[in-house]
Amino acid sequence: MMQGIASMKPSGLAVCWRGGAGIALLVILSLLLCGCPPLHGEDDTVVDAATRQKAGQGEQLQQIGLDQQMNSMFFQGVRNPELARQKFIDRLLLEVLAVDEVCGLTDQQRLKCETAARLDVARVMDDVDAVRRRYAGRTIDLNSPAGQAEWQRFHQDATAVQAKLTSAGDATSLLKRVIPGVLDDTQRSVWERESELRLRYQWQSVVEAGMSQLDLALGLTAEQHDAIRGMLMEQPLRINGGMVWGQTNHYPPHICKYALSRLDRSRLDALVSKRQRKMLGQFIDQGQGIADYLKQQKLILE
Amino acid sequence: MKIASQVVRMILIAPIAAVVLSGLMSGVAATQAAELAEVKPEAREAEAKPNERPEEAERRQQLDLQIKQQAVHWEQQFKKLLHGDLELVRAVCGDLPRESRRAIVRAGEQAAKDASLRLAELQFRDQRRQQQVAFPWQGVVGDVLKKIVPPAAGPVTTTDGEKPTDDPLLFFSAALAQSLKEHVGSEQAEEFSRQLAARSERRKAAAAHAIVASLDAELCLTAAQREKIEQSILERWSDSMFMAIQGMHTNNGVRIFPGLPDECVRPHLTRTQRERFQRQDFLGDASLQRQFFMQTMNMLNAVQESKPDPWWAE
Repeated sequence: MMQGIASMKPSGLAVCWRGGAGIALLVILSLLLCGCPPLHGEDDTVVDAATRQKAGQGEQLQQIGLDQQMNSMFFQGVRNPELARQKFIDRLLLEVLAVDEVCGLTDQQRLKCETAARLDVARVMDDVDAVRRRYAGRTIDLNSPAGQAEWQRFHQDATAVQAKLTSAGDATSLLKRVIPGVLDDTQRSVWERESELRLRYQWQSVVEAGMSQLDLALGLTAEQHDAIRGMLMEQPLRINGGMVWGQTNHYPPHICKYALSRLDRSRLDALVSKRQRKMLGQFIDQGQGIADYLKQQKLILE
Repeated sequence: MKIASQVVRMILIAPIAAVVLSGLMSGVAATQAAELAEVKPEAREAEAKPNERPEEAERRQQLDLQIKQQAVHWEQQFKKLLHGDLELVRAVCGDLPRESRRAIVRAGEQAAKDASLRLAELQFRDQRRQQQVAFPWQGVVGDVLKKIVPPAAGPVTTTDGEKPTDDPLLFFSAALAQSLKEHVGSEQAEEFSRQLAARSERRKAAAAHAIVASLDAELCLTAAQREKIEQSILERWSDSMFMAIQGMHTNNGVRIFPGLPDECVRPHLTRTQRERFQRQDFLGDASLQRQFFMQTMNMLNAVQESKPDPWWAE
């Protein structure tokens, strides 16, 4: 989306230059008078070295150093394994704090939960480190078929690593499995209720994000809106809330469209006019079209 | 020797810097004065420009043309919104006399044109501003100006004409509600306004939920915290927050929450959550509006083109 905006923004450079040509010339002349290059400093040694290397850069364009690629692709946002590890553990410890806030943990219970969280992080980071060791110090030549095949493999591994890191503390994590065992009966019932409320909130937010688009495109009345929303709330999908609402939240409307496609079509059609039905059908088709991707990305857990 | 050389350079550069700076400041004043009197986009072109040099007039006309061309492109997208709203009008009003239908559609189409022109103006805002700055060095200092000169495009106002808003949808609801008042019974017009108000409340709730769900994914909120933050968001509502429905962005891994005051969130967090809570809202008012329009466009891109209901043209 950001890319779209950037591409639509016309370059201001030409306009700037026309208006400022006179003064720019004046400034350049004065700098020449002072002895170029302007702002020459200690860093210039580095800049000059980089300039000298530029001659051979054409050949290197197809050579990809994987160390740098791993940092940017594996650890998006932080670009650093240590920071990623820290972010990961912080996220899980926040979950433990939430359990503590709601259930009031004893020191021993808290310690067990924190240990499970740290083990989760260690397990995932061990897997990530194994992939990192596999590609450490390597450069791929995209000019050769072998290099291209290796780049494909690297991409697949990077996607798997990203999925591991973004699914921190999901249903399969040790922490999630340890919490019910650590809590006593009263605490467990309170935490189960809390977890249900969270799932419901996440689903409700997905439904409302999707319904906002439907509302505008179909021109729904309040009654129509509430009836369709009610049907969606009755049949929640199992979603990975952390992933759906983490980072960018562009997926909820798509997930909602997919959920629409699973509803009883005749009940749905009865709620809207003939004209609206056509547009609704388009939304449903879009939802079906994106379903595989949503499942593949583990945004929908089916 | 090196230090002496630097000193000589500083002495030579200083007068030039002073001239540039004074020009910059006078340019800022000129821009601010020009922007104080907000001019409607359509009027801007026709307006007489005393003391305008031929090349300046040519540049201005070129930019006006570019903006109009871009607006035509956006108009098709905005018409998708119009089709939805007309469907709502039909649901509320039932049968309508032919003349009334045509008048209502005309009002809606004009609203689509206005919204499109608004978006194109926002898109070319920087170029427009550079033309308005009446001194010749704006090219050199343009980037500095961008940071310190207030935006050329003012906010859209709500139907009551008081509270400024960023919401592009307002063009349609305001135009159609007004047209209904003129062409159908007051009861139907009121019902349509009620439906629009209810829709606005639904969108607010959806945006508040989206913001809180995003915060929850990051901070592991409890149900009680979610409730308090949501309540606080609705109490301190600004239309920029609608953007959350269309998807949020990150900058270097930090989430951007447009228009969300810290007071809505921080007081309801624990100490550890407060330490983790990072947010950015670096967009200025005009950038926010442009972003909002663009995000609405992106949302509309997902909606397939549909033929307008022929009933309106019968």
